[in-house]
Amino acid sequence: MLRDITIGQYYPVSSPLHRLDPRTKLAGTMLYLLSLFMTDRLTGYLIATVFLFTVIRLSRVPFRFMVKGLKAIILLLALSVSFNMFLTPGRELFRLGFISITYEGLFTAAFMAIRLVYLVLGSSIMTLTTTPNALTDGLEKSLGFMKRFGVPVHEIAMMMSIALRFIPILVEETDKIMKAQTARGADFESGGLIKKARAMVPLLVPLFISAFRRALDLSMAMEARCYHGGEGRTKMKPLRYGKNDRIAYVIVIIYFIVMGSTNLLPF
Amino acid sequence: MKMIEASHVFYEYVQRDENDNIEEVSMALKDLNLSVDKGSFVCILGHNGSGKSTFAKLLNGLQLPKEGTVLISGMDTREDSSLLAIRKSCGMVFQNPDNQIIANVVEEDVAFGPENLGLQSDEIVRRVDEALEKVGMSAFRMKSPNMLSGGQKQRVAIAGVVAMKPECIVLDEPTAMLDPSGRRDVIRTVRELNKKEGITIVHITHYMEEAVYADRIVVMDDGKAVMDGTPREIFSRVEELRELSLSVPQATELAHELRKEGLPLPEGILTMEELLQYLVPLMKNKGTGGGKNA
Repeated sequence: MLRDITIGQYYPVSSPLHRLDPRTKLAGTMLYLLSLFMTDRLTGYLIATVFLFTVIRLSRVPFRFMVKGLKAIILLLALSVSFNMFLTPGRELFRLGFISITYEGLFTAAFMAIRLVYLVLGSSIMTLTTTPNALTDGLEKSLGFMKRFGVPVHEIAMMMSIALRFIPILVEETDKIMKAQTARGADFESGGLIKKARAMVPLLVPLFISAFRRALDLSMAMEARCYHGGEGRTKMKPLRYGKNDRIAYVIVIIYFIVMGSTNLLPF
Repeated sequence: MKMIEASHVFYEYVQRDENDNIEEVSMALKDLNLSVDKGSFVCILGHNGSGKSTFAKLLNGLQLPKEGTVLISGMDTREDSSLLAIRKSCGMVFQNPDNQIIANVVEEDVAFGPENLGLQSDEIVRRVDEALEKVGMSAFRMKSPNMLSGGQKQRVAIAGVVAMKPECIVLDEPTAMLDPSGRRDVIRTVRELNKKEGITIVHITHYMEEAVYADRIVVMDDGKAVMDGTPREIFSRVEELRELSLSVPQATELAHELRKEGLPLPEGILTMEELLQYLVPLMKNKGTGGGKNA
């Protein structure tokens, strides 16, 4: 069961979107998310829809992979929709006992739902088309200016990529320890929440010990290969903006401006 | 100039309790003297706790000797300023393949060393190509290390060191966690690097079969080098090795036992092929002479 966890959700196909610089995709996603909150006109939502589905087509990722990400927010979605629907005052549409549904409520609920769904879809496009490594690289480079404020950007990025590398290894190890302990009579399945949580303690202790041991080993191996922090370090594949990135930036910025100006429209 | 020159090296592990009081001091190396020529293939044997892993870590400044000096191509490991140069010229491969691979893609891991050296991107790409080619892992370049077998991971780790263009590679029990076929691949790779590239190899192991291929074997016990010689010389001293709780290669052991039973076999037979070379004529002679035991 533990092996089913996938890290990142990169979908390996070749598409113009996959080939974009991770920084472009990060910035584009940020602007897209912002744009969703800038408009409250129908036209705005229409433009956002067209934009989103064009990008999805461009990414060549099957739509059902996108929708997978939505499962996680179903509860949140249901809650916010019903709150908006039932609690917005305005012209009453119909009444069911003490619950009344208004026109305004219906609209806000629908828009809220669309916003949330588009938020999730938009950010999954980024994670589906960018490898976790590229993402870390992109973050390191675009947040590089924060070094001046004493934020250890390189170190954090390095930690992120090492964490990504070790998650599957530690998952496998957890599985192994679990089996070893089940073989000696440990019970991880039955009992209530507290009992289950308690059963995890003898699992966590060896797991932590081994994680620390691995950390020591790894730091030694890194030192042995001349690692001495981010200073003076070069990259095999340094991030470079290409022609496509410039085009993408222009498109996103135009889209952003259009979205902002929809508020001037009557509907 | 020697590749490695360790003279009068002492190293101790200090174990402290919670209050920082010294609980136990164990000497891992006691007056160790050892030098390694450039281009040679040296195998270091010894049972657990003989100090061989500690010695390995002294060779690129991961640990510093308490007394004595370790010189790598004439550079003192205690000099902070030469530490990077030492680590560049004397690379290291560790036992656990999982705990020394840093990146999520094979080629990025191989690039890690050259990136730390601050090389230009195109030079890094060239070195990664070359290194992967040399260890025969080019086909796996874009794969995740998690998809590889132990032997393949270990070859990636070797490629990571090769990409830094070292003069010497120290391998600390690189095959201890591998299956037989992975072990064979790693040994073949290491031998090729020694023969074709002229890289000095210091191979620490406790598999006797692997030591057969070395130019020279050093046996360590209790923090000292107690035996030093060619594989043939070392493995002729079967009884001495046994006293150090070390075994000898299977063929050597069989030959030794047969010799004790009175068969005219020379000492220091290392491989099965060699043993057969001596045994087959003996059997044939017996066959024509007595006829009974054939």
